[in-house]
Amino acid sequence: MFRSDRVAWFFILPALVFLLLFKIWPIGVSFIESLTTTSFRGTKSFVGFENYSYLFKYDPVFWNSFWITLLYSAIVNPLIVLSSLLMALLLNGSHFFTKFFRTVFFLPTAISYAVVAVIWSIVLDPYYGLANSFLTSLGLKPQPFFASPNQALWGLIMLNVWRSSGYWMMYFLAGLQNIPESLYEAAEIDGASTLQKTLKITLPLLTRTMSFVLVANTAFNFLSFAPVYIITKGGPMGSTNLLMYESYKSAFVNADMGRASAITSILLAIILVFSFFELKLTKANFEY
Amino acid sequence: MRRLYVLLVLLIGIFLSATTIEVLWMGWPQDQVMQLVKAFKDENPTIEVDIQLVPFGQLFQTLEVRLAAGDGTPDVYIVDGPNTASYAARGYLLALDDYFTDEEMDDWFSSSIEEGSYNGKFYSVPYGTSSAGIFYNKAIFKEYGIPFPPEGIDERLTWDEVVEIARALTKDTNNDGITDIWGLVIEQIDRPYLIFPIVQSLGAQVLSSDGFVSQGYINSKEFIEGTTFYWKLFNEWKISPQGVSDSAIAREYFGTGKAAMMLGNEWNIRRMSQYPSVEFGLTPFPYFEGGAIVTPTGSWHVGINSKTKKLDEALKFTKFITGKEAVITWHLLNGIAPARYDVYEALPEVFENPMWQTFLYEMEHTAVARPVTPGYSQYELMLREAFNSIHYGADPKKTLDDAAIRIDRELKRYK
Repeated sequence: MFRSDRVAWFFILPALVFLLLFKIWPIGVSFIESLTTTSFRGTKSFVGFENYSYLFKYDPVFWNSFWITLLYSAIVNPLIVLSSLLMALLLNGSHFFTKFFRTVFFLPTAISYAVVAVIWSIVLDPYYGLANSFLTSLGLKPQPFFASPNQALWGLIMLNVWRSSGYWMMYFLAGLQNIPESLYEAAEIDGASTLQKTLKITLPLLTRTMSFVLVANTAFNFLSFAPVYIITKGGPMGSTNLLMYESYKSAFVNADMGRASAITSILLAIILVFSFFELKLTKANFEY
Repeated sequence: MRRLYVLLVLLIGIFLSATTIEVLWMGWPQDQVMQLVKAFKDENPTIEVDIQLVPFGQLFQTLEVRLAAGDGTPDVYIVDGPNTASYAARGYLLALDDYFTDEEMDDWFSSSIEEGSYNGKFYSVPYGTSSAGIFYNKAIFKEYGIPFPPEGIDERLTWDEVVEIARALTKDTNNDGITDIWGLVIEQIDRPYLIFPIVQSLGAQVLSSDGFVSQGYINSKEFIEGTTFYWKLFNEWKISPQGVSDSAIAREYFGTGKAAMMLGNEWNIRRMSQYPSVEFGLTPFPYFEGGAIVTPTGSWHVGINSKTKKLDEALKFTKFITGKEAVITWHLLNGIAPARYDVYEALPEVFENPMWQTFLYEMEHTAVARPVTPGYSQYELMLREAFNSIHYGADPKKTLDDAAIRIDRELKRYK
C-alpha cells in the first residue's frame, strides 16, 4: 500500500481533470445561469432565486412535468432492471442459442435512439400503423397510442424498455461471469436446487452490479429526451412533457436560459436524491 | 494550346473569385428549391450558394441557435413574416430601406411590406403571402345528396352552417364504430394562423396593441368563446379528427376522400394535383353570424443577416429570389400565393381561376395580419401548445389562463 494519499491522487488525476472540466464545471455554470435572466438583447442580470420561485409558485406546466417525470421514472426503471436481469439470467450460458439470443436482445441498443423513435412512431401510428392493422385483423379496436393523453407516456415507457434492456443485460451478464463457479459447486454438493442457487448465491452476489445499473439507469431515464422530441413533442395535452424536454424548449425555443437552467438544476437534485437512496439500498457489505 | 491556357487561367480565376454565401431555407422539396438556386448560379457564376434546407418543425429553433451565434452566417435566411419583429428587435436583421428603391417597393402588396417592417423600417423582403378558405370534395357532397356550399364571396357560410354540413358528412361507412369520412379537417390543426380568424370573428383582440401583454386578451370572453367552438369540433360534434398534427397528413385526408371539407391554404389549388382523383371546390372562410369577417394572411419573407460579411452577394441573392422571374417559377412549382402584383399579371391563366379570385379578394378586403410583437415565436409556440391541448379535450379557459401566464413572462423580457 502507498504510504501517503498523494500518490493515489496522481493516479486519479487524469480522470479527475476531465470530470472537473466536463462535468463539475458545466454543472456550476448552469447553476449560476439559473440565478440569472437574459433580456432579448442577450444581457444577463442576476435575479437570485426568481426562476425557482416562478417555477414552484406560478409556472403552470412545471408541476405537471415534474410529476410526469417521476411517474415515468418510477415505472421505467424497475421495468428495465427486471427485464434486463431476467434476460441475463436466462442467457447466461454458452449454448449456441443463448449466444444467438444475446445478440438479438442487444440489437435494439445498437440502433440510435432517434431511429428507434422514428420506427416505433411509424409502427404505432394511429391511422396507418402496423400495430393497429394487427389489432383490427384480430377484431380489436384500433388504439390512438401516441395521439392519446392516456397512452402516450406508456408508449414511451415501452419503447425505452425495448431499447435499453439489452444494454443493461450486458452489465448483468458481466456480473454473472464474475461469480466464482466454486460457490455453485459447493451448493450443488449441499443439494441446492436451481431456484435456491439463484436466490441465495446469484442475486446477492450481483448486488454491486445491481447498484451500478440502478443508479446509472435512473440518471439516464431522468434525462430522457430524444423520443419525446421526435415522437410526441411533450403532447398530447402535456402528458409526455418530461422535465428534460421542457428545459430544452425553454432554452432553445423560448430563449429563456434562466428557467431552463433552473429546471436542469432541479433535475440534478432529484437524480442525486434518488441515487443516494439507491446506493444505500444496494450497499454490498461483503467480499467474495 | 494557347487558347486552352487562357481558358484555364480564366476558369481558375472564376473559381478563386467565387464567393460562397450561406442560405438557411425552409425545407421545401429539394428538387424544387434547387431549380431556383441553379437559375441564380447561371446568372451569377461568381457566387456559390450553400443552401441549407431545414424542415418546418425544426426551422425556427435552428434559426434561433444559428443567429444567436452571431458569426454572420447564414448570410441570407427565410423569415416567417410575423417573426420579423423578433429578429429585428434583437438586431439579427439588416434594415433594407437603403437597398430597395421606391419603385421596387411598389411591386409588393402593401400588407406584405407592412409584415416585413418593424418600427417603421423595412427588414424582410416578401417572398409570398397567403390566404385560406374551406375546400370541399364534390364527390362526397354528391354521394350524400348535400348541395355544394356557395363559392361566391357574398354567400359566405357561417360557422354554424359549416358545422351543420360537416355533421351531415361525418360518416362511419362500414359501421365499425370508427369514423371513415370526417366532416372537416384542419390543415394546420393547432396553429394560431387558422384559429385566430375564428376568435377574431367574435371580436377578440389576440394581443395588446403594444405587443407585450396576452393576459386578458387570449383569455378574454370572446377568445374563449371562439376556442370553445374549436374545442367542440373535436370533442362534442366530433366532426374533425384529433392528432392530425402534420399538415401533409391533413391534405392526404382531404385528397384521399377521408374528409369532406378542409380548412386550408391557397397553395392547395396547386398541391392537390398530387391527388388527381379529387374534384374540389372552394367556399370562402366562414364567419360567425353577426360577427366580423376575418381571414388569415402573411407568409414567408427573406432577410439578410445584419452581421453578414458578404452583403453584395447576399443582396443579389435576395433580390433574385424575391424577384418576378423566380417568384413565377416558385409559384408554378409550389403554389404559394405571390406577394408581387407583376406575378399575378404575368400568369393570367392561373389567377383567373375563380378560387384564386376568391383568395385575392380575401387578401385585399378581409385579411388580418398576425399581431406584431418581438416575442412572436414564444407567443406562437405557447399558444400552439394550448390549442393542441384544447383540441385533445383540455378545458379552453383553464388552458388559455395558463398560457397567458407563460406568454407574459416571456414577453416581459422584450420590454
